[in-house]
Amino acid sequence: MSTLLTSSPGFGLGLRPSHYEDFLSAPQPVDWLEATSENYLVPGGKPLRTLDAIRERYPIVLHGVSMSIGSAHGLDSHYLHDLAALVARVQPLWVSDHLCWTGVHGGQMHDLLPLPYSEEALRVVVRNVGQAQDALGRRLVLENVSSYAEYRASEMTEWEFLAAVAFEADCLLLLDVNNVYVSSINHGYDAARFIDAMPAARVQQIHLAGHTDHGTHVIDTHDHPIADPVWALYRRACERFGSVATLIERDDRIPPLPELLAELDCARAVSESVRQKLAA
Amino acid sequence: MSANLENIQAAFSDGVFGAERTILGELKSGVGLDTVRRFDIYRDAYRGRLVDALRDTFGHTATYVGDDQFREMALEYVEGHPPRHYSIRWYGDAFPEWVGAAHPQDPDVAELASLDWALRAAFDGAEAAPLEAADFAGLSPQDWDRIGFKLHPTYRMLEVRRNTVAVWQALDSDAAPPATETLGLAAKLLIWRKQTQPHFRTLEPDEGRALQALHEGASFAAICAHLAENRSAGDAAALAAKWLRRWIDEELLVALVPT
Repeated sequence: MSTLLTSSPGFGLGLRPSHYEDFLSAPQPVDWLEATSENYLVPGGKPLRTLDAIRERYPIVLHGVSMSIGSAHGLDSHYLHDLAALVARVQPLWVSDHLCWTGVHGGQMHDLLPLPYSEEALRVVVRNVGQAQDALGRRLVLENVSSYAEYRASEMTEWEFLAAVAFEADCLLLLDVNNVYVSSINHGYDAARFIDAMPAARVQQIHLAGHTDHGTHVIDTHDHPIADPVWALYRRACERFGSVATLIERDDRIPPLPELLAELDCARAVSESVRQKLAA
Repeated sequence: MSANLENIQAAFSDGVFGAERTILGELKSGVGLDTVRRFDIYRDAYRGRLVDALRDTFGHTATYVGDDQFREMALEYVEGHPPRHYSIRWYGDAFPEWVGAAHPQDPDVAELASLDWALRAAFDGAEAAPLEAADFAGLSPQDWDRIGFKLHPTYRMLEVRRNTVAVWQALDSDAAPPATETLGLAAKLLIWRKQTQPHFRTLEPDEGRALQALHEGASFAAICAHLAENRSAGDAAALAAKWLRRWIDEELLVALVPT
């Protein structure tokens, strides 16, 4: 067992306000919850009070969307300061964000924008991860994003870039299996190669989600159940990484909680069947 | 020779925020889609996301003007207002003022947007434990001469010149809003949060002046003295006591402060 990883808390869901009451009124069959950091980077009021109450009942991971770890200009110290305060309050299992950039020169696009997979970008990300890990006092967990464009400046594949970031910045990875699938369709690569290239000792977490297939391309919409090819990739990831903390994200057309709990049971079943197969 | 990261990010931003397209030369054409369509996925998503954020924050304003017109208005705002804060929660801080300047024919919309924004600010504004009646029990007459009150951190006063309160209340209960009209006299709205719920109410001019004076550091005794200038001492004391009870019930007061 690697000493790099926090042991898996099991199977979780992204915490969304429409499910607050479900989690507060009765115990639910989820092992942990993932809270979007920015939703709670506010001075006070209902969001923070609710998060505190839910934190008393469930382990929580903080998952950010604004760190902009690939920004050529370095990180926003104001953001790091606010995030560190939230981390101190919530005491999350770990803190994650995306391997992307979200703005430059102080302008914010509020989107997870792809990086060129170049040596230069690698140096920038490694420098920025160091800054974030110093500010937070812990290893950062970085997620691969869905992308719709690739740069001529890229000198390596996305999976080579991701693995190099993990090693050189000494951080951990959140493997979003749906994002691997979406990008593989949009850029015409073999998704299995991506999964196989991930350094198992640094994969802290897996994300599962739904997408929208437009025929010519696929958009990462998080508004559908998980598609069959993504389940197949998840099975491959379980075979390769063992029992990794797994989480389902739904951000639009959010169904009643029982529907997501049923989907989470499917993830449990895939993981368990792989475990039994490997044990046999 | 490919551009460096900083140039790529600057060109990408210019392409998303405006009409500059030099970023297209940095992208691979790839399978299925050409570079224009690939980049436009990001460009369009940016606008869609910000319009959604504005619709979420200015919910009653959007209902009031109608979805299509709100979208048009929001897109117009987005073009001139690239987000600066790391959290999309703060996008729209200049929207009410912008509506007032860009659409001077719709002052009712600008006022409603101001109220939506103020209520959102109260919703997740800072915390402070409210004073209770017992906190006042031990005060001596000398104390009363000197103390003022710190108001809840979400306290805010908003001036309205139209029947915006009636419009907001109708929209809030899914009823048809009344026709817009100008008030004979501008009114002051008190906005704050009690527990987790934002509240607002229209203030009588005297109470509005008193709260603003307290907020600016005046003592309660000074408020009472001011009230006594144009009413009997008994009436002034009764009115001040009524306000104080109400402010305590409303959890509007959070600390006693020496003045």
